[in-house]
Amino acid sequence: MNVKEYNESVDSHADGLYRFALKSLNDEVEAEDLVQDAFAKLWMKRDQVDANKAKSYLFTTVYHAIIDRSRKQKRIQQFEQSVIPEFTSPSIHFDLKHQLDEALNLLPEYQRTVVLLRDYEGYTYQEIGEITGLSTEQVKVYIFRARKALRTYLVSLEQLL
Amino acid sequence: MKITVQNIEAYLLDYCTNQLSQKDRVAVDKFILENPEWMVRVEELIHLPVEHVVFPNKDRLKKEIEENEAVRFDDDQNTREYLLFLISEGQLEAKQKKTIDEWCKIDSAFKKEVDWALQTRLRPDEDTRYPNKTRLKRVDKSKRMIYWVSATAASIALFISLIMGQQSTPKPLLRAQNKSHQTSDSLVNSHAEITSQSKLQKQGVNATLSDPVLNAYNRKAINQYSQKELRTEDSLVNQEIIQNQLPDQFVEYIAIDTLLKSNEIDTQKRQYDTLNPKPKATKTELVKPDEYTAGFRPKGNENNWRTVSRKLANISKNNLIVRATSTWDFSIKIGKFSFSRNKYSSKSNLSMK
Repeated sequence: MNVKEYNESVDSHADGLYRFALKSLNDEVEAEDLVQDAFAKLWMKRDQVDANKAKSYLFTTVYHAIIDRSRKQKRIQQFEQSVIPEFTSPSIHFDLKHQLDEALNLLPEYQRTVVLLRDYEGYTYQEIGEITGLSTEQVKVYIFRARKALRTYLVSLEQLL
Repeated sequence: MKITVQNIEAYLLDYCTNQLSQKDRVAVDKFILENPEWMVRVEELIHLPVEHVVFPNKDRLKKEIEENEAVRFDDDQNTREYLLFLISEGQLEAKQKKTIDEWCKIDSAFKKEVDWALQTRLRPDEDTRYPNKTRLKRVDKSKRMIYWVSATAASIALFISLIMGQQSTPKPLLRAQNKSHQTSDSLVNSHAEITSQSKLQKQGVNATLSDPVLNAYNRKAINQYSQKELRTEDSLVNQEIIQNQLPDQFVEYIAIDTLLKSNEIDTQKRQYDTLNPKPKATKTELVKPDEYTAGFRPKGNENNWRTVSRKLANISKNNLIVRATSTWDFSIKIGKFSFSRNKYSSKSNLSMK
């Protein structure tokens, strides 16, 4: 990867990467740092990373950084545990986007990241598997659980309102 | 395995269908040469007719595909969940959709779940962008090289123009020493502002300050400095005496003034520097940066003089920056003069090489 290709990957992927990190972490400063670190690593390994693999490399780097951070904060839930989130204080005004964000934040880290990769970047199960190091079946299961949790949250909220 | 009359037929079949290894083929060839009656059997096998037997009307067995036929699913919770997942993933096929439509017609609760399933697909906020994206970008080395070459060329050009400008301006020191030259009003004024010129003149020092390099900040600093009623222990030894650009003469002036104020110095030496100032060559020598050295020594260790970095004591042509801590003695050499001070005894010593 040459300098031009590197700079093009900044233009193409920095925003998406930032959105992914921001939604996963809910912290602008940390999200910025992760993106910056990912690009710094890409720059250091530019001789080894092909230009068309840059996006995958960047998302893999950020994904693992998010998981590491979550592990450190001990926020991650049991790997195989299916979590149906419970809400405690629903907003009076039903703003779908806001509620989805809230529901997303309640998901375990693995589920949240895979569903973000799926919806934000349109990755296939196989590609998500490559990024996360999970098998394709595991990815499917996590997305299935995440969707179910999100839907359950929204249905419950609607019933309450 | 050895080929015999009992197993030759099996070998011949494989031989004719090219399924024998090279070694076995050689063995079969050898057997036929030894038993030529088997050659007839080989010929028969080679020319065995191939029968083409085909099942008639195969298509009749196939089922017709109905495009719009709904797929029959078991209507249980697992199946519903699976279909809802396919809806949210956007992977529903036409036939599955038809089934769901049928279920929605008869089950309003399921219809709502279908609606919510469609909402669980996240959409990125396109307005969220990485700030300072340009900060992540890198510059091509070749472009950087061009930049540095340009910058270096510009610096050299600037340096040359400054040198040329300096050469075209007569040295103020020389001008001051040359009685035939008239000093300008500004030079006189700044000189008057600064310090005890008259006092110096009384003692034979004939120095003046070059005005152009004095900015307002320097003036203030110099004024503060001159108002201190210079004492040896307060001058060079104090922390950060002057941190501003100084005119050449001011550097010299400090040295001379220190010399005058010191009670420890030898009269003869004082006369050497002040009352009978050396010719201009000597004075010029005083302001040469290369000849200035500065050092500190730890308390009580007189033999351990250290040359310190220019961060601590930076004496160059236009700068006099001295940072000395109270626990360290201080020494400074300017040209031929060496000035040192013991903080605790408050005694200063000026010597000449």
